[in-house]
Amino acid sequence: MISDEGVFTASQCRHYAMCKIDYLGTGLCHSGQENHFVSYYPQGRMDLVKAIAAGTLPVTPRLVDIASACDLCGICDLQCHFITELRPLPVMKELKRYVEEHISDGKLVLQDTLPKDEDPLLVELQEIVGTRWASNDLAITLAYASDPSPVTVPKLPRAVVLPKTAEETQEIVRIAVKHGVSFMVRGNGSSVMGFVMTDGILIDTQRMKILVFDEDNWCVTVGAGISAFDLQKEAFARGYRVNVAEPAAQVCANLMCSGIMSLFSAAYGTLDDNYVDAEFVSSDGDLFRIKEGGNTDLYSFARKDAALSAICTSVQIKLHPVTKDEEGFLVPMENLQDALVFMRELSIRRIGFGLGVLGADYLATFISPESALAGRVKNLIGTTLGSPFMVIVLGDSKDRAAVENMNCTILSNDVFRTLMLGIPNLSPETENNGDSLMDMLQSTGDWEGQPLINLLGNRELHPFIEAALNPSPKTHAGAVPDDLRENYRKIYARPEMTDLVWLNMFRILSTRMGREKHLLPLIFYVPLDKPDVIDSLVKGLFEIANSLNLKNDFGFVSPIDFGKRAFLEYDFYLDQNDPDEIQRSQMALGAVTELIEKTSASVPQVQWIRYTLNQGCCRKENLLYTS
Amino acid sequence: MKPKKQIFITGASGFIGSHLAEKLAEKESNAINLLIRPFNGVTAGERWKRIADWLELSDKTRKRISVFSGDLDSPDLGLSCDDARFLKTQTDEIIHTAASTSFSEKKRAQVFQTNIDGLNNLLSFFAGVSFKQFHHISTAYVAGITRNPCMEAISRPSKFLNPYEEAKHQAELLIRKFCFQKNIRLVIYRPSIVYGNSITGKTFRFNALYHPVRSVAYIRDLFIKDILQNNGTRAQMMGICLNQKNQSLYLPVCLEIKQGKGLNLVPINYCIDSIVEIMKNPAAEGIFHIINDRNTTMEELILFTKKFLNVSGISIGRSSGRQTERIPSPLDLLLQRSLETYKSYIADTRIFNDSRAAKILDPSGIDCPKFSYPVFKRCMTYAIDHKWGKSLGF
Repeated sequence: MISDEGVFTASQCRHYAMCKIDYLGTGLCHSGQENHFVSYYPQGRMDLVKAIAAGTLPVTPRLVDIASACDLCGICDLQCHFITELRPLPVMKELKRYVEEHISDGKLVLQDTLPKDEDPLLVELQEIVGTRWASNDLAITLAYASDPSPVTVPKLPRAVVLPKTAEETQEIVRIAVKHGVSFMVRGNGSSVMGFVMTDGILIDTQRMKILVFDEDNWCVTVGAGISAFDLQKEAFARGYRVNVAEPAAQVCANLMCSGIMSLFSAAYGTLDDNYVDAEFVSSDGDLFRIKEGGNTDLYSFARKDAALSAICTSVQIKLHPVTKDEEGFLVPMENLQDALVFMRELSIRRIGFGLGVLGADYLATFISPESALAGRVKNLIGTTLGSPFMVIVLGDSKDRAAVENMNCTILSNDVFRTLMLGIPNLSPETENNGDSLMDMLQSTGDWEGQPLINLLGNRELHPFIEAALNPSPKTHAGAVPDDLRENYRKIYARPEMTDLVWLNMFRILSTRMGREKHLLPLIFYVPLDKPDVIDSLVKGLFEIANSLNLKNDFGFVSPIDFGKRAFLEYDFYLDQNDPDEIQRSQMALGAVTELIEKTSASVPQVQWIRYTLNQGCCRKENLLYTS
Repeated sequence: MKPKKQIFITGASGFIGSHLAEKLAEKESNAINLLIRPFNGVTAGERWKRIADWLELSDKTRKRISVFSGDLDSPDLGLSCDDARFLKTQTDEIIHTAASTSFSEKKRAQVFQTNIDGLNNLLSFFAGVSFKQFHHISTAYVAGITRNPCMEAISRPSKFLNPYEEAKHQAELLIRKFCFQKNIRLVIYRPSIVYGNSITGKTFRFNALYHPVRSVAYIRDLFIKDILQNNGTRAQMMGICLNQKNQSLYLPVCLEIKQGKGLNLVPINYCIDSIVEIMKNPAAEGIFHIINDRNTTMEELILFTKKFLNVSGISIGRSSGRQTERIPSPLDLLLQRSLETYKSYIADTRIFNDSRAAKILDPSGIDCPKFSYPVFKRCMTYAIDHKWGKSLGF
């Protein structure tokens, strides 16, 4: 029997795949690293435990192997808590116990009860990749069958296969064509938006770990099994930076799915700006390079839903130089329109290699190690300090000087570090404590004129803020459960954990957005020279979510092509296990579609990112400047 | 048995409303009906229970008080049908204390929503109902910006210091028209700035003059801790030090404040005694100022604060409105921020005539106590002991 608590925890997994990268430098699940299938990672095991509890997964040979492969090292417990506050270790223990008891009780494993009935397709797949790397065992396929998106139609793959090379991928595609079986490809095996479901062959590219630097040509060849985090780590160690997205996403998959977008797109661009060349396997199994063209024109873009036309097996990503005087800082803003105008000004003037407008919710969530604290910090930043928005600038000392000359309040990285390391002291939850900084600031009551944050940004007040927050890794760790504090203390003793440039390069905090509820990001291309359009869009999205009683908030806006266009992310949230909330989310997405179509009709520069799916390699101009 | 007088109080979870309910419920012949809105997941009944516990009401007093869950923001006051029927048929007197007291221009809409729209909802609710008296808690500052003495009469101001004053003025006009049309007794009470109990120090509202004292106390505790536990590096950077002889903390703060005639402060006990005394006088009708004839200057308040908190260094740089030579330090600005809300009242030169109120209060021996250091100390000791309200739980 699986406990209710175990089922509850297991059902909360958001499939963000952060257990598949060593993003805290605290190690990686050994079982997952060796076996690659999602089921061998904590994320997959969570799904398996949920299925066992629901009575839909019998004990199979792979389930026995998956359970025994877990050594209960606890790495996942820290990793998962860091971003979601979940503690998966007890779930891992329950899985092991369940399987061990099943066997010790002499109960049968599935293969012993049924006659062996090999799927000829599976046999052929195993001939290509080896028996270990292709499977139709339910304990394997089930971890690829669904995701937390409200629009996902679950599909159980007939087989899951993990090729190691482009050649193996070619053969897999040819076999699929020969058998008339559909196929779908996933970068790290995960899915969060429901787009990569199949009842045919699921190709998981985790094993395609090519990583070859060509420093003379300022690029790196990245196989389809390389994550954004691992690529950035390698590049950074060599003194470069790459423009990548979510850390657990595989670079090739991300490129194909949406094109790479980040705050660094302000300088490094998006879509085809990010790569030199890429290798693909066509839907017929032919190998081609995008530069060579061929039958599949991946540079083009059509404003319509596009099917998967080719599998990206590797890409040559551009390397960018870094300087020693890089730093990040924040410029507080009283409203969105002012923030957009200011950020556009920076972008036009080519100030900063990374730019974005962040909402108070984003900022509070990123810096707070637990969600209740994040709520209080959001209130402090947005209301008490009077800065519901901040422009984040990642640049060098010359960029900093340029912004200072623009006569703005700047929250330096030092202030940010103080805030982050002292955050538990900002607003302690216990009523028995004395006054906190937040109490003192809130007690100043209503105000007119300059927001309070402009005053707190003053360098001369830094000792006061430090005295109030007593920032240190130990202080920061004080916000988490006792047994994790020492680990948190060690993590936050590392300078990069409070470095705005590093944090945005590696984006390890962004997954915290899904901590409270599953995140449904709505991403649009918008004209940055029309801040009123963006503002109106944001208000429209806010009204849609509120009318359906869905948690929602502004995410970020980041410029592209020197302030001509921008990405806008607005986020809806849902309880992925609540049927009513799922239904309301579906209704909300319908209303969003209407809003976007209506807006696009009058402002064609507004485009939903949904059409970029499978067209993310396109030429930037083909997407951004067509009407 | 003589039927009880049914008194309906709005804003009963507020500072004045709750104290009035307490005082009026002490009289056996009164039945007090409170309108309280549920807030932050706490029911109206529970909110009142917490306040009643804080007021230390006796069982007898509590029994004379009934709580009606509702909200002035709703056209029907958000009452149940039975409650609405009861209040419409039984109410003898209305005491309207509910108000938004924000001075912020940014909160203008919210202030008008509560103070005007909410009032209109109340008046509509009782429009077709027969009752005897309407008592309205206004403010002495409805007079608007004027150099003339503020009289106990409807004022005709052209300009106000903030949306609160403006809304309260409009409310007076609305109520006057309503009561004139219904031909019922109207009494408008205009207190100045209300603080805690001058005898016990008790309060559950820690705004107004409490803000700056709280800020100084916070900064003092912070830097004493820094000096005693962390070598005082941060204190040193801010020019803050501890006098080893008397353990007084030196805070280099100069507040640039334009001063007027001082703050007019009345304690809640005097305010309530005055209102009830006027209320029970059947001949009393019209407007009454509840004020202190002795204003408190900023010098006095700073002196009290320094003495109470054992700090030195805080001074006032008299602003004449012209640009001063000294550039304020961020610490100056931070502390000045805690005075921001009341800045215009500190600069206020308005004086109030309370001859009408005095005619009733003087013979009864009801006199407003001077805001002396012992009173200040009592109030601030209570505030600190109760963690500026954090330990009160409501």
